[in-house]
Amino acid sequence: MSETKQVELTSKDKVSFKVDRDVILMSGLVKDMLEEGDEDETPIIPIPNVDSKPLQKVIEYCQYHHKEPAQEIEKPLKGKIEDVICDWDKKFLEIDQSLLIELIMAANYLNIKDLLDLTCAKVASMIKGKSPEQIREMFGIENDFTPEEEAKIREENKWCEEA
Amino acid sequence: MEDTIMMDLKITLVDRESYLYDISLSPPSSSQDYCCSSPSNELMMLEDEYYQHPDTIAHHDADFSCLPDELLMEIFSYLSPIPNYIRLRRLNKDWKVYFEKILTRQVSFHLAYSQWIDIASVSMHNLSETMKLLPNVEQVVVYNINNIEDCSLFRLFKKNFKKLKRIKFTNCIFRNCVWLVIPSLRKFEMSN
Repeated sequence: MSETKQVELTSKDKVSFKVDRDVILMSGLVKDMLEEGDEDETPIIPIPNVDSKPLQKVIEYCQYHHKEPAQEIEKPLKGKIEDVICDWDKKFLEIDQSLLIELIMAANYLNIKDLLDLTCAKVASMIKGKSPEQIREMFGIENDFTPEEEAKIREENKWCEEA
Repeated sequence: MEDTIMMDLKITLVDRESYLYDISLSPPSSSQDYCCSSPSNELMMLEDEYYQHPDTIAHHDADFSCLPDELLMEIFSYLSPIPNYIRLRRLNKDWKVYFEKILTRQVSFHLAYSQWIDIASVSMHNLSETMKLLPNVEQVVVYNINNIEDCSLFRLFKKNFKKLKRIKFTNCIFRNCVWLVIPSLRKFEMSN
């Protein structure tokens, strides 16, 4: 009986993860590297731009979704993202903001479209419907407008914000 | 006397209350002519650059503005653009500059990431202001307007959407409306 072929991924902080080849082929980057590389039994693939924490989440995502394809997320979001994703994804996205950002960058780097869609839509959902004040607070953005500048931009925006 | 457009019309009546304009660069159907960007190979080609940028690597605790433009735009593509973009201009000076750049970049960017713009209850004056921000719109879907009485709407389209190829009216009622010729227009539809 043949064993499942595996791939070893090494994160930026030198942590190794053994993953089924079929699973990690969701990554366009890894797929390309495997196609280009030799037929080692367990090829080692360095992922120098992704730390172990987001890489672990990426693997977790691929392990689930290589068998359960993700549903396409509508653009633009008409409601909350939680309304259009599966329960597993909802749970998966229960992470802090810095990890979410790292995941977006990792998904982009590793070329995993479904994960990139999911994480980007999550951030969009966090912004949606929020006032500038709420968004500033949420993302730690400093308001560097003077009161005069802010009044001016409010006036400029009036036509749209009151719509 | 204005010229009148004669097109194939399909009219069915449906009642709805509020009205809304949808100005779409990319219709819900996957028409090649209006294809909208999704995470693409182009996008994937950029990551090496920003990953190697020390600022982006060091910003794990930073706000999401540390993401490169391409990824920010991917995020914003999930938002209905105008109200959100306008709101985001108010965050701080950097964001104001960023969104003004997006809103005014006409050729290279052309709001291609904008699938839909929903503008509820906007007066004709404000609609004109909005249209100015979208010079590359090729398709317009107008729906739920119960009383289009004059040609002002068409004038606005003609004036602001120089690349307009397709107009679709859904659930709209016209009264003595004079329709202008819009030179770029290739397809005109009405349905209810």
